[in-house]
Amino acid sequence: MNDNTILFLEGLCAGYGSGDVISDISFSLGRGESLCIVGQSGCGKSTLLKAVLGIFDLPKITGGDIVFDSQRLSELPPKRRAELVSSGMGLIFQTPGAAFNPIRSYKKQFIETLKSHGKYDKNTFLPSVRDVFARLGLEEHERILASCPYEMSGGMNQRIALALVMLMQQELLLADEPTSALDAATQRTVADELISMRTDGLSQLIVTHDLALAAYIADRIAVMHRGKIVELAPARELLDAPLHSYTKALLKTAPRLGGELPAAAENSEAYSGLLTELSPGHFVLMEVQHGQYTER
Amino acid sequence: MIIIGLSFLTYLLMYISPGDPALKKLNAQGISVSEETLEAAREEMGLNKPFLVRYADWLGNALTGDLGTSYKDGLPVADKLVHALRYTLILSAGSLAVSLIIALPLALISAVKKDGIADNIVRVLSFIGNSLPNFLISVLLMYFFCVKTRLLPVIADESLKGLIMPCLALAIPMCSRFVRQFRAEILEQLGRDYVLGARARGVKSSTILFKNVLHNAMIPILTIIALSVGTLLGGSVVVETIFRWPGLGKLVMDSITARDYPVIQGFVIFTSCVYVLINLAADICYRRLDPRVGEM
Repeated sequence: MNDNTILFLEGLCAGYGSGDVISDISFSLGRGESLCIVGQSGCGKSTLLKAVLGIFDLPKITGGDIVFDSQRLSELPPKRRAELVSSGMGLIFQTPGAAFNPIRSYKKQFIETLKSHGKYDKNTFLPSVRDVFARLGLEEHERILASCPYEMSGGMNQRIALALVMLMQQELLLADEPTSALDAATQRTVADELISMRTDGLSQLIVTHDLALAAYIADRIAVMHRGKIVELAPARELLDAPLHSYTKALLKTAPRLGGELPAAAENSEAYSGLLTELSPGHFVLMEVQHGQYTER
Repeated sequence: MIIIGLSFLTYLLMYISPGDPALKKLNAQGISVSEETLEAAREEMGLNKPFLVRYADWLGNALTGDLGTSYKDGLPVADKLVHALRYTLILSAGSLAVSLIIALPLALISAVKKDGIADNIVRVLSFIGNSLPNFLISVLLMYFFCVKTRLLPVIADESLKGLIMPCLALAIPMCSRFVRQFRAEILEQLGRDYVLGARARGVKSSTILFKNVLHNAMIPILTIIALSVGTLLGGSVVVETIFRWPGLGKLVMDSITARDYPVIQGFVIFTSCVYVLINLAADICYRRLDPRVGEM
């Protein structure tokens, strides 16, 4: 962890009461960096995101720690932690617009969010919204603000949610499958906006099972399976030269519609050991055997 | 159409039910009943005409606002209904206000503190209140407030003091039912994604609860209230009879006993109109609360 780190996970374990769903998750995320967590459904991606956010009743963190903006979250009182997290991290849901009250105007919801963080200024509100909307290609900001989420398309709702993150000047965006409910054209638009926001300095932790999206927007990719990170590397390197057997299998199945699950998923021995740095920035889950690390 | 259908059904039911209104009227007036007198009374009351002719006559007059005169005392039915309605309105408004003032905060606390001590106490009390029939509550109230403590009069007069017991007798079960139904609606809203989204954005709990959850829950809550208002304005036969409260419930009970068909018919028409109007008012409120309703 260095000064440029916005988020640092240190052996994080979390679950829903009957055993850990994610275990021993460690990585750091730099400011303005985009890290995509990929893996098949049920591998613990969304649980990881919720654990980082930590404001829901479940999952419960059972071990490890989270350092956000140089503050160790476990050392903070719950109220202070919630304030820090909600003011610094923005969350984008899988279903566009689901994070907003469907029958309350965006204007009211924007204002109540900003007011809750003491960031609402009546005089600058509309110009700020206009600027942010313009950057995201959203025209007619007053009409959009007067609308309710149920009146908007999926792509519009997702972009409006991104606009609020920008308006709040949050430092970290957590996104849970941000494009999976969108059509192909809108997926591309949202993905481009995520890249643009990252360029503007917004750090991103994005959970997705869409390898194409991860390849398009991520600086680094972490592959998760059975609640563990099995490989973490710069995006291009991981896609071009995967080292872990599960990553190789996952990449092989990706282009095939209806392809079978990676065969390596059944080999439980491949998912024990330590996340080890084999080359600069390229981590692979490995077992120690006879005093040497052995790839699985 | 609903009102005409209901009036026809009621007319038919009264026609086939045993008992002679002319005989009841003469007995009530203390006139010795000979066959000739009875026949003359039947002729005068129009009871000798065929059923459909009687119904058509009644309907024709009703459509011009003339609901006929009471068999019992010769007074216009409309006047009797308006007089009784005044009392029913006072009782309904009082019991509804008491129920809402108690039920809404209790349901909110119960839902927010789900499975906590407060929730368990509220649930047990509302279960008991909901299980007790009106007549038992009336008798218990009489025992405590009239017999034991002598704080309130047994027979309700028009004073505020006289209103308390019939009001409580109606409010206790209604309030208990409201608490359970409101709690379920609020809980349903609390589980929605937009609540998680608002919490993730750090929106104040009070804003989430009062401006979002309660607003959205008001739509089903309004339906529950509208149904109760309809029932209340129809008059509570049991409570009004026990406390001798001269409202619609007592009027219709007395009219059924006296086979006072015009009053019963007028009551049915009036109650049907009340239900139709209440539903209309509820529909208008739905549109105000949920803009989606107007678009369906």
